[in-house]
Amino acid sequence: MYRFIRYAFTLCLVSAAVCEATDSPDSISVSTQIDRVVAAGCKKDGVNPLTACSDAEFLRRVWLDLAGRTPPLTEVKAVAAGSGLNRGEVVQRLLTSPEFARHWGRLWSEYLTDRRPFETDGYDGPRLLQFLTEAIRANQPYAELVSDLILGEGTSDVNGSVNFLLRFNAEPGPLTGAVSQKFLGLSLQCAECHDHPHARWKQQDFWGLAAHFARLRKMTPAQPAEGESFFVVIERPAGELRVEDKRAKPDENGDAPTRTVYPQLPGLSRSNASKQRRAVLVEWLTQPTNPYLSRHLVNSVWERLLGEKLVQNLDHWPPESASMNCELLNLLADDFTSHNWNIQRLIQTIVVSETYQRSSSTAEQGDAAVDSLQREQQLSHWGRARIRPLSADQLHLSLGQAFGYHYDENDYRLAVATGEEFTQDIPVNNLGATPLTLGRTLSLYNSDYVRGAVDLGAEAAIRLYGPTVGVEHVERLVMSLLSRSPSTDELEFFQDLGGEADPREGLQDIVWVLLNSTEFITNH
Amino acid sequence: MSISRRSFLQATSLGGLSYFGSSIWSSLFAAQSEMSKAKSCILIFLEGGPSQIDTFDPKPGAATAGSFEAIDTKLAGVKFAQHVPRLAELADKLAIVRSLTSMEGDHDRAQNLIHTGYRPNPRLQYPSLGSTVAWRQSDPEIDVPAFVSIGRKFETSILGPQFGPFVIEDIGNPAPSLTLPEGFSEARMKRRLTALEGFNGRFDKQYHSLLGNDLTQLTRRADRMRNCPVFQPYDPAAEEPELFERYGSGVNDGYMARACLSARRLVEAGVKFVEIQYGGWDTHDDNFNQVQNLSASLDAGMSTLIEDLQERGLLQQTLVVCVGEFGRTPKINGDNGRDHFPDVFSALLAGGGINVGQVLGESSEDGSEIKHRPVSIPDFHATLFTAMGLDISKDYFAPDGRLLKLTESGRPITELLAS
Repeated sequence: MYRFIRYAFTLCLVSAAVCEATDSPDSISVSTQIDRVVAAGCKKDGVNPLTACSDAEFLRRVWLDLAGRTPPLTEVKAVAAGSGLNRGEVVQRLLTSPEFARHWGRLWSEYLTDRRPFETDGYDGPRLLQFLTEAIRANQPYAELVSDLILGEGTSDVNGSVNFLLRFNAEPGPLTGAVSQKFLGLSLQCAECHDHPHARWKQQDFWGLAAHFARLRKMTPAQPAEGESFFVVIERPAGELRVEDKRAKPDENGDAPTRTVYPQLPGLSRSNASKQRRAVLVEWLTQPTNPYLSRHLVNSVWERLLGEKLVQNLDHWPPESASMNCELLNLLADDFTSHNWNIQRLIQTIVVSETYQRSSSTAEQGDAAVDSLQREQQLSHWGRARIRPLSADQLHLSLGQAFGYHYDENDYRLAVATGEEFTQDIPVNNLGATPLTLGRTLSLYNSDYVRGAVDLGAEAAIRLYGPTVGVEHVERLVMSLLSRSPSTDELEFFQDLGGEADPREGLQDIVWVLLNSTEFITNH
Repeated sequence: MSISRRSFLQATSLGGLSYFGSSIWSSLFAAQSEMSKAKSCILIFLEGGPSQIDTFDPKPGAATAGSFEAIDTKLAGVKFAQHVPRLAELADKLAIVRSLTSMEGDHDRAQNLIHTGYRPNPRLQYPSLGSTVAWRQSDPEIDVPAFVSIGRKFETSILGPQFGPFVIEDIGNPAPSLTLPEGFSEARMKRRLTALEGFNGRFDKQYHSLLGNDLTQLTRRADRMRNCPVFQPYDPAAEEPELFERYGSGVNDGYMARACLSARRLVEAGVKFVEIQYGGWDTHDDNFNQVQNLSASLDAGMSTLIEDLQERGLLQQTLVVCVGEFGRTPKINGDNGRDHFPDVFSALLAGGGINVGQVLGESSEDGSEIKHRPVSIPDFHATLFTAMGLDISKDYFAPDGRLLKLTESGRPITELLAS
């Protein structure tokens, strides 16, 4: 069994993957190829995908996904006025905007550290965020970005990338778990403690990989200057990883003896001793024949943009039988590596596809008779856009877009823009970390923060259009929060609501309802 | 694997159960009457890994004893360390487990294990005790949330965020968003909610979204929480000054007094599971001074909690649990501290569903290993679930359709369960 698995692994490193996408002429864009694969998958299983979403829906969706907030009012108005939207141009513009770099920098930093970017506990979170934001802005090739993170050295407040190593204490065990999970999509960390009979990954794989980090040392300055806090990572010229030898007899104190583990990568013989160890690891990670690095990145980006991964994990890659999702993963991963690990190109390819631009609503299709089973099938075949709750950051930035901020003294947007050190996590402190919880709902319901936003929205409308609730007020509020113009029905509905009380209170009630609505707090 | 087999063999050799074979388990649980089940649970979580030798499993005379003395408890022949005198007085209302054993020696992993009963899996966040109880036993008609955490945050589990805790950060004002501003009428809030449901109704219809329904439920829940006095600002120093003092308002920063008193009020209001986070037990250095301080708050808070529940007739239906993620080494290190020790540690149980007035399990003379009746974390979970009337033999399905057993390998410790 064990030998067979090892053999299978070596094989899949050599021939990138078994279920390769069918060859397509270069003239057909990868986006179109995605759509063809999805169309074939839907046809095979008798699923009717929804048609494309409206321009207004697309504008809101892509702004939230790429820039982390709802679109500005001017763009919403232009679409509402009926001037056609050049979707490709919107995507191009967003990808080169500073907001894209900030939003994806934040996403990356949370993903890599499992924490908010404000942490300074043993590492410099804000500095890591700054490093990642800059890498996204410069569209640094992903393979290079990964090698920067693994090869980091020096001081935490100077060298941003070293904070990834520091987040995991610069220790071989935690780093190996993090690298395998976050860069390769593999659950190697289960093998840290034990061999599982059915798992491909063995303890030898885990510790052999871990030995590449054996010479790292985290150092803390003995007497840092007042108010200063930093850490240093160095690589020593010698030293080997020693782990407990559970098979050996305990010594007289009852402690298990240790044994030396030499660096060795899964499926390969012992690593070249003359090279720097982490450099050997990076070379293995980023060689084009390693199927995991690119596929895991594609899988993660796809999940960010479409709400669900293509495959659950890569532990059993390549899969035994071909599938639509596996074909999509290979298609995108091959294009990604053959275009120098270009993250912006990957995102662009996905969001200009019909698959990303699918509607999420049945009503627009004219047939309401879709039952829940068909809906599920449409979702699992990418034939319908998924409705996803907004993060605290997306909510905060969208409210700021609509009304400005009332937390001036710690303006989150300002702090992000200037890369200043964060002292407070305004979005999460005020809105709660997790969507769909009672805590988040209570914040939206009546927190100081949301009451402040409601006041700002009502005041802005009064300043522009006077105190009596009319069509203009409702139009503006719906456009700035929901990024679309209201229907005739809705104009009436909200004017009725606003007309019941004194005008200021009425406007506040309208803002409150819009701000709490499912339509506002989700991306759809 | 080896643990549960060994514990089973030990139980059979001592308890005379071998005659019945293993099928006896299920019939024994069925025999436990509904009356003796707990309806709610308060978990006092001693984060950091408390030193069992310096609290509930002292080793007087051993080289590892440390600087504390051992004192008598209400139970003949059973001793506690000197800084938990009030709990010692209440020992007849406690089941003292001295043979818990964990498989994890790292804080994060061990905390995950003690909360979920499953070894940490990077891809699957199993539900913590409170989430499982909320999932199986919450009553949609009750206005209070089923699971409330005082000060501890949790990862979202595979059950989904709706079964996660409502987290209280400021005990004095547990849900600041519930207080409507001055001059804001009930009628106005009602108007807003009606309009919101009307507006969301259009969206749900157009988008066929299940998410919309979840969100509407959450908003209704949030609104109903305003009917619950227990989530209004509360100052025990003004409302119940004497009781608050008994809880230990003047001991250390008074946190445990506020937390334990709040837990009693929450359970009284119908919350099914309250977890109190009480950190600071990671005493790698200066162990003895630190444990002395920590013990003072725990002793006052937990003992008063048990008395208070009893005085209100709630103890019979409330399971009280006190445990950390692991114990600490018998060996005292160079910094006068003790280090992580998952091999042997202690827990206290009290109240509903529990056979109290006993010590279960035993550690060796110097505390370095288990001498008798090891209790694995899954066994511990199986015991708590059974005490709360949950059927651990059943297969359940998580909201995402995944098969989920309450415990994979745990067997309830029958001696700990009330009959």
